[in-house]
Amino acid sequence: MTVDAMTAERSDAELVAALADGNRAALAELYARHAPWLLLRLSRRCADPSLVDEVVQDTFVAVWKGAHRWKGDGEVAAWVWGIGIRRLLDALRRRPQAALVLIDSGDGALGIEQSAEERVLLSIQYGDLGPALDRLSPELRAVVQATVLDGLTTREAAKLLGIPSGTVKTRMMRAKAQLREALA
Amino acid sequence: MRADTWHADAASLRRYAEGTLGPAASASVESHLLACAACRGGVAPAAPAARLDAIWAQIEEAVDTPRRRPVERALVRLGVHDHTARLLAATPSLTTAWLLSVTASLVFALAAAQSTPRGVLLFLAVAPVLPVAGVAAAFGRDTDPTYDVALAAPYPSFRLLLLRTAAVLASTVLLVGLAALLLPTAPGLAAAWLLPALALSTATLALSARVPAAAAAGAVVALWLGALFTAVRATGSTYGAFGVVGQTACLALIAISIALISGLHRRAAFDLRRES
Repeated sequence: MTVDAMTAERSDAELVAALADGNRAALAELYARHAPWLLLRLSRRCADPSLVDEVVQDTFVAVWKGAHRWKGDGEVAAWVWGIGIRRLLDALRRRPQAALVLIDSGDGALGIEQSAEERVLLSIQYGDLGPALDRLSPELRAVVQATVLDGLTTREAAKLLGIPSGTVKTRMMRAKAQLREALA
Repeated sequence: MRADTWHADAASLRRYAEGTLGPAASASVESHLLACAACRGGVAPAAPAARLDAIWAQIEEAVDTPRRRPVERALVRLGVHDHTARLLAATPSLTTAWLLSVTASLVFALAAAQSTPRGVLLFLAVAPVLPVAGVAAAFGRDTDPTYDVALAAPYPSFRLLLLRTAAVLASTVLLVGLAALLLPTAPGLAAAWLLPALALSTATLALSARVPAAAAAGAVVALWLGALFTAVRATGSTYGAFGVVGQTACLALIAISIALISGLHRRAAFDLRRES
C-alpha cells in the first residue's frame, strides 16, 4: 500500500510533525502503532470497555488537533499516554459510576517528572522493589500508581481515585515509608 | 539499563495484555512500553482488533467533521445539542449576512429617528418587519439551502419550524431591542414595536402553512403598513398605531396565530405541505 510506504519508515516524531500539516496517513500510522497498547493500558485503569474506547478515540482526536503542541522531545508514546490518562480522568468525572480497576503499582515512569527520591525509591533496578510493591495495600498501591506511574498530580490522582487530595498525600507518605522499610 | 537493550519477554507481554501479570511486573512492562517500539508491537496483537477498527472509524468521522461555524459553536456552548445547533446554524436568517443586513436596516432607521418624530415612526414601522423577513427567509423554498434536506430528514418539520422561529425571533428581537435603546424617545415608546413584531411573525408563520412563506410575509407586511397608515390618519397622532388599541390588537393577533398554528400542527398541515 502506498500509504504504508510513505509512513512505515518514519519515526513517531516525524509522524507527529506530519500531523501538524494535516497528514491523515500519518494519523493512521500513529494509531496503528499506539492505539493497541493504549487500549490495553487504559483497560487496566477502567473496567468499562465502552468508556475506554471513547477515551482512546478522544485521545487520538486530541493528538490530531494538538499535534502542534508536541514539544518534539521525549517519547511520543509518553505524550500520548499523558493525553490518554487525562482524557480518562475527564471521562470518569462525567461518568463517576464507571468502575475503576485499581490493580497496578508503580515504578519510575519515563518522560514524566518526578522527584529524585521517587526515582530512587521506585526504580526497578532495585531487585527487592517488586515484592515490596506487591505487599503494599491496594489503597496505597493505587496512589503510587496514579502519581508515579501515571504521572498525575496530587489533585488529578485524587479525582481519579475519588478521594481528597490530603488523603493522596498521606497515603503516598505511608507508601514511601513502607517501601523504605522494605528496602532497608 | 537502557530501554533498547532490554525487552520484556513474550510471556510477560501476553500476561500483561490478559491482565494476569502481577502489579509490580505490570508497572515494569508499562514503563518499558513507553520507551520501546518493539515491545509495543509485541502487545499489539493482544488488543481486540474489532474494537480498534470501530474506534478508528469514529476518529475518522471526528477528524472529517467540518469546523463549526461561529453561530453553531456559540449555540453548542450554550448547551444546545450538536444536531440541533447544526440545523439552527443552517437557518438562512441566522447567517452573518442576514444579521449584518438587519443591523444595517436598524442603523438607517435609527439615523432617520434622530431627526424627526416621523423618523421614529419609520423605526417603529421597520422594526417589526425585520423578524417577519427573518421568519420568511427561514422557511422559503428559495432561501433555505437545507429545504430539500429538511424535507427528507427524519426530524419533525414542525419542531424544526418552531426551533428556527424561536432562534430567528430571539436574535432579531435582540438586535432591534438594542437599537431601540438608542431611540431619542421615552422608553415606553421605544418598546412599542415588540408586540407588533411578535404579532406579525406569528401571523406569518400561521399563514405560511397555506401559502409560500414569502407571499405570507408580503401579505402580512402590506397589512401592517396599511394598518399603520390608517391608524395615523384615524387618530391624528404620529404614533397612533402604537396606542392601547393597537397593542391590544397585536395581542389578539398573536393569540389567533398561535391557536391557528397549534391547530394546524394537530392536523399535520405543516408536514403535509412540506411533503407535497
